[in-house]
Amino acid sequence: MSLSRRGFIKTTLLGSAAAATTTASATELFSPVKKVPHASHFGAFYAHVQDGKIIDIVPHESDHNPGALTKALLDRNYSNTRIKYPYVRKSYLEGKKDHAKLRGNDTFVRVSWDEVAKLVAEKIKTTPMENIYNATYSGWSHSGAVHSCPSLCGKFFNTVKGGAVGTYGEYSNGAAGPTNPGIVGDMEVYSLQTAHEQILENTEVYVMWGADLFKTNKIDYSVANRKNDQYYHKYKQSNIKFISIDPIRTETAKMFDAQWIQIRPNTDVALMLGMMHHLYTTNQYDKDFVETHTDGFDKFLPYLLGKSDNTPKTPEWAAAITNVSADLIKSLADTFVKNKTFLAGNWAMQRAQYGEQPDWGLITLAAMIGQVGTPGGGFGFSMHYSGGGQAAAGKRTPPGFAQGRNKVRTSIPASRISDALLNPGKEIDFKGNKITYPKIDLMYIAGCNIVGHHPDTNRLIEALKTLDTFIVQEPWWTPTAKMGDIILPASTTLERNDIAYGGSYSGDYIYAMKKAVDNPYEAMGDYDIFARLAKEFGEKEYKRFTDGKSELEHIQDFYSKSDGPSVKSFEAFWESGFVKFEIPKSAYAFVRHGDFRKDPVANKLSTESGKIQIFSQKYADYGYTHFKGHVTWFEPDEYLGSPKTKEYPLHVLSPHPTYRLHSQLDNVWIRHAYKVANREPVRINPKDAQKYGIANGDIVEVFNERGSLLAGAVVTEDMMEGVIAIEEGAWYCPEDPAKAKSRCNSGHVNVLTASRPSSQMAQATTSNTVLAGIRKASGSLLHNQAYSLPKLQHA
Amino acid sequence: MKVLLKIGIMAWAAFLSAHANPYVYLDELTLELDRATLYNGAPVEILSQESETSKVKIKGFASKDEPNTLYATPNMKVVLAQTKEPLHVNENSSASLEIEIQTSLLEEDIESVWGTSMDEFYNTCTQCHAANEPHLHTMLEWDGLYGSMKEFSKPTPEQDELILRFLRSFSSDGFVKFDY
Repeated sequence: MSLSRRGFIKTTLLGSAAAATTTASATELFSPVKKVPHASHFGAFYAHVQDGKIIDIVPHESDHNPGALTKALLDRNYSNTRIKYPYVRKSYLEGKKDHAKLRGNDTFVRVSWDEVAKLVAEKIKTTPMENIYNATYSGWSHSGAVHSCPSLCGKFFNTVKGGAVGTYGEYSNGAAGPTNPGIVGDMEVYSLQTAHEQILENTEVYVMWGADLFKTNKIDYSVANRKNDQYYHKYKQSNIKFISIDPIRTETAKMFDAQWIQIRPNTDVALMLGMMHHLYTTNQYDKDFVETHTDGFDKFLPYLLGKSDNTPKTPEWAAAITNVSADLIKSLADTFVKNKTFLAGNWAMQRAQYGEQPDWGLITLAAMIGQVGTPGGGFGFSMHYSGGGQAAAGKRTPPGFAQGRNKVRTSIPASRISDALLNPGKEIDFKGNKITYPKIDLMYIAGCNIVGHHPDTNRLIEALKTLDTFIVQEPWWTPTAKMGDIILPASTTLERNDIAYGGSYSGDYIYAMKKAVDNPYEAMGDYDIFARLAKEFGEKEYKRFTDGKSELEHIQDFYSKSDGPSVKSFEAFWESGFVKFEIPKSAYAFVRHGDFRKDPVANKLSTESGKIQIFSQKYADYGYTHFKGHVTWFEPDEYLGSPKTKEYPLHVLSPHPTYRLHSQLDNVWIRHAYKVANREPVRINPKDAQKYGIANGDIVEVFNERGSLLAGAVVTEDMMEGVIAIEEGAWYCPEDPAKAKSRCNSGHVNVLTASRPSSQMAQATTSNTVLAGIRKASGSLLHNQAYSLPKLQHA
Repeated sequence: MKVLLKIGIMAWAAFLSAHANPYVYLDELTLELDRATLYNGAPVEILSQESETSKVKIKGFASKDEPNTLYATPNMKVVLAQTKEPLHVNENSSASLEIEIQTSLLEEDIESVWGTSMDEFYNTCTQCHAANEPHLHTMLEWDGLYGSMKEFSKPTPEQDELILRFLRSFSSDGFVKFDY
C-alpha cells in the first residue's frame, strides 16, 4: 500500500485522534495531550505534553522492559537543580587576584547571554590553544547526534582556535582498551559479541566474571532497548550453569541462581593463573588450539610454572591470594575445560592497579581452554554493555558532527587530569612512549561531570584551583557546575530537536528526538550555545561551525546519510518518530572470533603474529616494571592481602549504579527509594557490620588518607566479608567547601578512590584499588546539600 | 643578530623544502600506467625531470611470493604500486620501481596529497569521540583499533580503504612523517 504525503499525515492524525478518543480524560477535551517521540540512554519514549508541560513519559515499543529510569526524565526536566540563566562566579567576575581559591565556595552572579558570550570568547581568544583543555569527555550526556557535547566542543575549538588539548582514552576501559589490540588485535571491550542465540543453543557453563548483565544493560551508550531482558528469561529457563566470580552477589547472579565464587577484589589474575597452572599440569589444556591460534606460550610457561621467578602459580598459590580454595580453583578449571564454557569478562577488574593484566589473563585462560571462536564458547568483554549479545541490523545509522582536525597534538590520558593540572611539564611513560603534560590555563567542559567521574576528588579539586578559567556548560547544578567560573545553561534534550539510534549493537532503530516543550528560562541547546560563541569569533567561523545549516537541517542531513531513507522518507520518519530496520537472520548466528578459529591464516588477527599473543615481544620491549611480555600477577598497593589493611581493613568497590547512569538521575525522585538518610548506600557484610558496631540504616563514615564520606549502611549477605560497595555517581557535597579534604556528606565514593595510574603502560584509572576504614557516624550531622543551589546573585 | 639567525633558519627551511621528496598526487586512489598501477601518496625520488614528464624511482619492499606488489614498509601493509612485470626483490626484501610519470602528478605538500583521506578519517572517526592522532599508534595497533570501532561508523568500502591507508601511512611506523 502506498500513501501519499497528504494521505499519510491525514491517516496519522486520524490515528492520533482515535487514540485520543479512547484515552482522553475530561481535561483533554480543552487541552489535548500531545505525544512527542523522543529517545534517551534510558530508552525511547513519548513525552505526553499538555498545556506546554510534560505530564508523563510513556515507553516506546522498542523498549522491552521499561522502568523507572525513563519515567524519571520528567522529574529531571523540572528539577530544582536546573541552571536557569548564565552565571559568572563573583570573585572571578570582579577579577580578584586569588579568585581561584574560592572556586566551589563562591556566589554566582547572573549575567546576560551577550555578556557571557563575549567573556568566554575573550578568554578563549587570549589563551593559546596549547593551554586550553577541552575536558568534554565521552558521549554519555545524552543520545542526540546534533547536540552531542563532545563532537560540538571538539568542532568548536578546532574551528575557532585550531584545536585544544584533548583527552586520550577513557575511564571505562582505560587499561584494557589500549592493551588488548596488541594481544588479540582488537579492543574487544566494544566489539560485537557472540549472539544470544548461540549462547542459548550451545553454552553449558556461563561464567560471569564480574559481569552484572542485568544491571548494566539497563542503559545504552546510544538508546537502550533492554532487549537483553527478554533473553535473560530464556537464560533462566535454559540448562546453562551460571557461575559468578565476584566479591558481590549481584542481582544477575541471584536471578540465574549462579554459583557465587567470592574472590578478593583485584586478585582475578592470580585466580586465572592458578586455573592455567592446573590445566597445564593435568594436561587438560587444548594443545592444538594453543599451537595453531596463539603465539608465545613457550615464553609464558616458565613464568606459569615458576621457573623464571621461583613461584609456581599453583592453585594453592592462587588460593592464598584470592580467598578461593585450591580445590575450588581446580574444580572450576575442570568444569570450564570439560564443558562448553563462555567467559563473560567485565570492565571493573581492569579499573584497578595493573589493570592491563586481567583481560590478558582471561584471554590466555580462554586460549588454553581452547573454545575461542566456537558457538557458545570462548570469551567476551561486552556482554554487560549496551545490549551486548544482540544481533546487529548492520545498517548505517545517522552520523554526528565531524570535529575536524585538532592542531594541538598533546592529549592527557583520562585518568591523569589532576596529575597534569598539578604538574605541568612532567613527563610520564605511556604505551612505550613519553608524554609531557601541558600547562592548562583554561578548561571547558560541556555535558559531563568530571567531579563525579574522576578519581580522588580532593586531589581533583586542588588541581581545578590551579586553573585561570573553568567554563561549564550544563543543564543542572552538578558538583562540576558548582566548581565552575563561567556557567552556560544548556537546555535538556526535551527542549530541542535531535536524532539518535539504538541500540549500540543492534542498531535497528533510528529515533526522532523531537522537542516536547520550550525552555522556560534562558537555557539554550548545546549546538546553539557553541554556534553563539562561534559568532563572537567572526562570521567566517560561525559559518564553518554551523555549515550554514539550522538544527533541523542538520537532523535531515544526518538522516540522509543513514540507511533510514531506504525505509521512510525524512518527513515520514519525523512524523512517526522512528525507523525500524529488520535484522538479517545471519546476524543471529554470529560467533565472535568464529572466522579466526576456522582459518587463522586467512583471517589472522591484527597482532604481531596474527594470532593471540600469549607473549608479546613488543610489550616486553617496553621494559616496564609492571607490564611484561605476558600476563603477570602484580601485588596491588591496596588490597585485602596488603599490610595497609591494618589501618584500612575494608576493600572499597565502586560499581556502576543500579538506579543511575553514573551521576545522571541522582537529582530525581528515584533516590528516595534507595538512599539511606538521603545518602548513598554502602553495602556491608553482616559480620563486618557487627565487627564495627554498625546496624542497617546507620549513617556511617567511610575514610582513608585521601578523604572521607558519610553513607547509609545496608547490611547484606550479598557482600563478601571484608569488602564494601558504594555505587559511583552520588553528587559530591563537601560539608565545608572552604576546607581542604572536607568530608563528603552525600556518599560520593571518589573522595576515597586513588588517582594512581594502572601502570606505565596505559596510565589508566584504578578506582577499584581502594582500602578504607568504617565507623558509625557520631555528633550532629548536617543536611546533605548535594541537590541544593549554590549562592546565586541576580543583579 | 636575531634577524640574521631568522633569515638563516628560513633559508635552510626553504632549502629543505625545495629538496623534499614529492609524492604521487592523484585525483583517485590509483592511476593505471603502461607498466604499473600507482597509488596516491607513493613517495618518489626524481631521477630526471622535464616540464611534462618526470622519471622517478619509488623505493619500497616486496616479497618473492608477491613480486608484482611494491609496499611502503617491510610489513607489507601499504601498497605503493602494482607492476605488470615482477620486481627485483633483494635479500632484505627491498625493491624499487623506476617509471615515467606526468610531472603535474608530483606534489610535495603532504596535506594536498593526503587531504581527501585525512578528511575521510576526521569526518568519519570524530563523530562519537575525538580522534587519536595517527602517529600515536603503529600500523598493527591501528588495524586493531580501527577494526574495533568501524562497526559503529560503518564506512563504505571506499571510505574504509582511504581511512585505513591514511592511518597506516601516518602511523608511528608508517612512511609519512607529518608535523601538524
